Amino acid sequence: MVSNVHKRLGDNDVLKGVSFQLSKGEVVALLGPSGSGKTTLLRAIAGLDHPDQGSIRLGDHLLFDGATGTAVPAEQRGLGLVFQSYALWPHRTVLENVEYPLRVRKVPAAERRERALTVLRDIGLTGMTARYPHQLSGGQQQRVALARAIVYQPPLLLLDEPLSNLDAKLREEARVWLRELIERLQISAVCVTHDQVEALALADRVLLLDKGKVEQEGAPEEMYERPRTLFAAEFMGSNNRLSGKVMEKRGAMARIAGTGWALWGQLRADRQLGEEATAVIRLERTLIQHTAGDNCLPATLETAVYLGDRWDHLYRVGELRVRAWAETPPAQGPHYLRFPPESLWIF
Amino acid sequence: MPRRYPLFLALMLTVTQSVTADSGPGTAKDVVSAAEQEGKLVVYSTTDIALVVPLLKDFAALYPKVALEYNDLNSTELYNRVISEVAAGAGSGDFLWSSAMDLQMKLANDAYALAYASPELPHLPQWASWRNEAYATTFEPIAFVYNKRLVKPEEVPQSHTELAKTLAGNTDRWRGKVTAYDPERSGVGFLLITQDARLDPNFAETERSYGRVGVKLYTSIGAMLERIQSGEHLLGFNIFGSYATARQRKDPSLGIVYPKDYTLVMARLALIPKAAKHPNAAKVFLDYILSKRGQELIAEAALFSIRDDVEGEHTAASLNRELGGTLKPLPVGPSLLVYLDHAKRLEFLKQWQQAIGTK
Amino acid sequence: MRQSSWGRVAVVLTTGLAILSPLGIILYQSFLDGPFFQGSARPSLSAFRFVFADADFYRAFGSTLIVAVGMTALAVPLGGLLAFLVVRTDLPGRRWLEPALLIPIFLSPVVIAFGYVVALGPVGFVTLLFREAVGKAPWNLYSLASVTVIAGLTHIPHVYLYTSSTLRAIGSDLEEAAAVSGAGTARIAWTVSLPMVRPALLFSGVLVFFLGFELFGLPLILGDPEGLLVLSTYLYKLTNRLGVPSYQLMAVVAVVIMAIAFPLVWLQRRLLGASGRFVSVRGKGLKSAPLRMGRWRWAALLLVLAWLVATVVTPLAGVFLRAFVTNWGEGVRLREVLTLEHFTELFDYPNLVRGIVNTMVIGVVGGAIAVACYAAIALAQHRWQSRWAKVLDYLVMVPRGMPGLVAGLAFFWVFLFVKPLAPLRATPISLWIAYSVVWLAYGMRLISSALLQVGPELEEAALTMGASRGQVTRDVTLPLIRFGLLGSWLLVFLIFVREYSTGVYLLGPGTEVIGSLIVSLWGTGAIDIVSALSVINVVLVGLGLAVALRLGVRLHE
Repeated sequence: MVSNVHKRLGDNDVLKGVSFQLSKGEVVALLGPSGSGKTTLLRAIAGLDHPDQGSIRLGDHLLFDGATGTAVPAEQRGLGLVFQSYALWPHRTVLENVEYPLRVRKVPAAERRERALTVLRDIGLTGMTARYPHQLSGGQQQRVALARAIVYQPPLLLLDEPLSNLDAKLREEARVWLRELIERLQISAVCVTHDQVEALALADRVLLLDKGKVEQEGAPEEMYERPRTLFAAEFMGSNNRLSGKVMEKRGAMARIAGTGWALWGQLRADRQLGEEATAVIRLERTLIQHTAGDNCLPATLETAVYLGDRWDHLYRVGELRVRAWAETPPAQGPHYLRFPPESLWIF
Repeated sequence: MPRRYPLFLALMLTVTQSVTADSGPGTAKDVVSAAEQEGKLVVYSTTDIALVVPLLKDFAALYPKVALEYNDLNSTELYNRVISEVAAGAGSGDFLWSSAMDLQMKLANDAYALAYASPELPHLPQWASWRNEAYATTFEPIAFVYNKRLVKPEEVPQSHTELAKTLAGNTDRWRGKVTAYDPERSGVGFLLITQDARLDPNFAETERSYGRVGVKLYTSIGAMLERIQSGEHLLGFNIFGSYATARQRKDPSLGIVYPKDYTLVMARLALIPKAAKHPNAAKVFLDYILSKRGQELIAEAALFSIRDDVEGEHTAASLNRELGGTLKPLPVGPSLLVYLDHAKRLEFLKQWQQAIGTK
Repeated sequence: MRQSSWGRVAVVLTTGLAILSPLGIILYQSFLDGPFFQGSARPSLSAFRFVFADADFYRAFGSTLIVAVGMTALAVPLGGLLAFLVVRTDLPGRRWLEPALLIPIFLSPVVIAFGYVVALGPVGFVTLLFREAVGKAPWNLYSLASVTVIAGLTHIPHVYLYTSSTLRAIGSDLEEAAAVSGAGTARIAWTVSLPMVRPALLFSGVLVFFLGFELFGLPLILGDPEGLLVLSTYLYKLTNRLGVPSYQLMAVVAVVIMAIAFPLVWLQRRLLGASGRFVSVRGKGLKSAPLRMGRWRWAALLLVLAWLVATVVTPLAGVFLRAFVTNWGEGVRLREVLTLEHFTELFDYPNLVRGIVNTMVIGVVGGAIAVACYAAIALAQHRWQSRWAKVLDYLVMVPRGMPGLVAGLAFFWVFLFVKPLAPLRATPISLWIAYSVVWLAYGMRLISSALLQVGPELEEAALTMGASRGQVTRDVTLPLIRFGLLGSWLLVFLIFVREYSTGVYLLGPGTEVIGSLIVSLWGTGAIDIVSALSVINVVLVGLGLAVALRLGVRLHE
């Protein structure tokens, strides 16, 4: 329903032409490092800041058009926005906070109360209605902020870093809970985050932004398994990185070599023979072996860190440092690292 | 009955007439009724309200229908207000009563004042009114004041010449202990010094003696009296006898001397502006102040009455008896305006500065 | 969007009118050769020529310069030291010392000066005691040096305010690091803390220097005996120079004062911008252990107490003493002269009673209305991206450069000559307008700092929920700055009650307030009344401060 054609913000060139579409019931994640312009984009959709160029449409309504100078102010757009800091009004109770959008829409008191209570119940916060925000935990505050944003059933929900203010443990639970809620209520949403795990978990489609431009757009699996650029590959997961030169090319595969090592991998970028390239492989795909094999490199174990659910091994291969995961503590004997060619992407 | 009634009434009338005619103001009847119609009187005055409270109460008793609003201002403020308010056409004072004789005279001379021949005029000295526009209402002698606690009676100078000799003769004793008005910053102070220049044959010497003891100059008489009382200063000259007397009542350690060679006499001048909104009320008040009744209260307030037939302490009569020919009142007239001329004023100030600059 | 702008623009225009009209009239008057309401006045530079040829003017200017420089030199180092001692070290009693340190800001300078005369004047009670004990009192209260020293001491709190809030905001991590590596407290103060608060010291230095130029009450009372003049008292006494009041000369001096003040105000603003950014860098904010001073603790405390005694206790004691005795000075026995009659006498003077009532009304009611106006202006400027907002910024700076005395005079002229306003002149309303304009920048700063506490997201959240800007202000912004508004009201009350110079020229029947009455009565020498009024003034200020402290209002800006 929302189609952004082209958006650019003047001073600083924060957004250099970003476009995307969103269909009803879809969740799009705007993912990127800080400074990539994702929050600016979100605020532009909300109407809190106006871009210099481009247009924003919601179905048939034109919210912004740089060419004609149309700019619908935020209070008239009817969207829902959940702030990173939740922005709950400290001088009002939970119920009053949630009721406020309805009050502004002149909904009569009884109906207002009922709708607010319903939403709070859906979200799992009954019994908290008379409390003040400072009396709630972080997770509860987030729920109130969410409730407030959906109580008037906006066509589009905007979320700014919804999970970043939560503790690590809470975040995991919230991820699941939030996704479930969005699906249940069939909310269309745009979610801004810098955490790729969050983006993968919550979104139907991920937009990866870097320095104001869209690096890659696609479904979560596509983004993770088939990154199209080095930046995308590195951003979407934890990787090992090997720099070297392209020695050979054979169809879609290439051989990359550095001092004392050479490996075959999937060529994902257009590289010529002899050109410098970077090979990237997900940590979980890097396999530890004790015998030599195809696409293997001998490695010396430097240290291993116990993380509870696995061991994180740090190896040295010549000048390279490579990490790999294993379920067992490191064994004695020679170690080899295997880099399955289809998982080793060369950019 | 009808016969006796008018007789009775006539008797009552004569009795009351004589009572009022005795000391009350002789204002014409129609003026009084016009004043009562006006119902209000706005007074701008430089006289401390505390001193005139009895006067105001008495006036209210005599003329209950005229509500009096008394505004206590300082002399330059009074002048300022009058000229700016009259120019703005806004309401201003109806009765102007100020001790700054030169400024009042300037107002009269600049045609701000209404001419009114007060019936009380015959009881005032000849010099006390100018064209019936400006009236002298008090007769305040200018004195030397000293601290009785710290100054021995034989040290107190009795004349201006003696003052000069005393100060010059013992500069260490008097250094920093003598005080007077600053002619540069005080209008009335300036006026007094220029009169001294006129009347003191020895003025140059006197001036220099002030310089040698480092005379302390102030703009306010209250500050001077306060410091004499506290002992910070020992002696002051060109001090209003009226203020000093009022202070003396509270603190007997203040001594007052009227100089025997000449004693200046200042008067508070009263003026009714042409632009007054309640001119008749003002006329009534003027007559009241000049009446025997009013003047008696003025004498009681130690403001020194000017009227000839008022007896007692602090009256012109008693002063005349005591000091006779050495009293030098300032005539109400254009002579007061001489030093309002910028050039003359600045010239005088320059020579004053030079004289007291001597150490 | 357009509609809400109209309201804001209207606010800007009204404010502009209120601020620029007095300024305009002063400028206009300075270029005439007579009072502007007299038909005979013609445009001319004669007024400028006269003033610039007057030796007294240059003397006054020179004295002003000396005082301003001297007091800055005194206040800045001592204020900075005080801030360091209270905020960073283990100075004993620093919790209750803090509010006490700020008292001089709220005491009326005329009251303080008067108190000093009674205490340390040539026959002051301290002087007399000293003379009995030692033989001769070595100081002269009426000298330029004394005025400078007293001015310096009483302006230490201003430096303290800015330096201490900077120190607090920055956090003591750096100093702790230095302490851990073995540096002594004094060394830390000099090499670590000092550079950090340099912007605050610079800013408050400029502020104090600027205040030195506007100094009026202190030199008025202490300058009289020796004929000391500073620019403001020169202006005040100009009325008698020529025998006849000369508005055009006064206007010229006002123009000179403002010509110096405006660049200083602009400089202050620039420095505040820089240090403001500095201040917003928040430290960890953890409760850190204060730096130890060892034996020096008590010496430091003694120093601070000595300053308090010299600057607050001594003059107040003088004021209270004089109010309760009939006479004082050499040869007077205190026990014999105690009395309450000065206070009872007050009621004989209807204008004094009016003055006291007016002061309280202007403070409480006027203060509330002023805060409402300041809030309206601050809200108009709040989160408004527009050239108008910048205009408002500069407008607000203007009254800061007009000393109270000058502003009062200008408003007197405005009220006299703008016919529709004329009936207001004799009411406290004219005074209130003058006060509100003079203290505009101060009030705005109070409210702006409260507004800054409101996170923009809280307002944006309401906007996205569909609330109009007006509703946002009503439902979100205002409730959140409630406490800030209350605090501002109290502070404005204190400032209005303390005020003395603005009302001087507006003083008239109906517009009396304690401060200007004191100035005027001092002129007539009614010391008894002055002392009684001073006591009342101090009591009012004390009550206000007590309430403020009770409510936990931060006296810092």
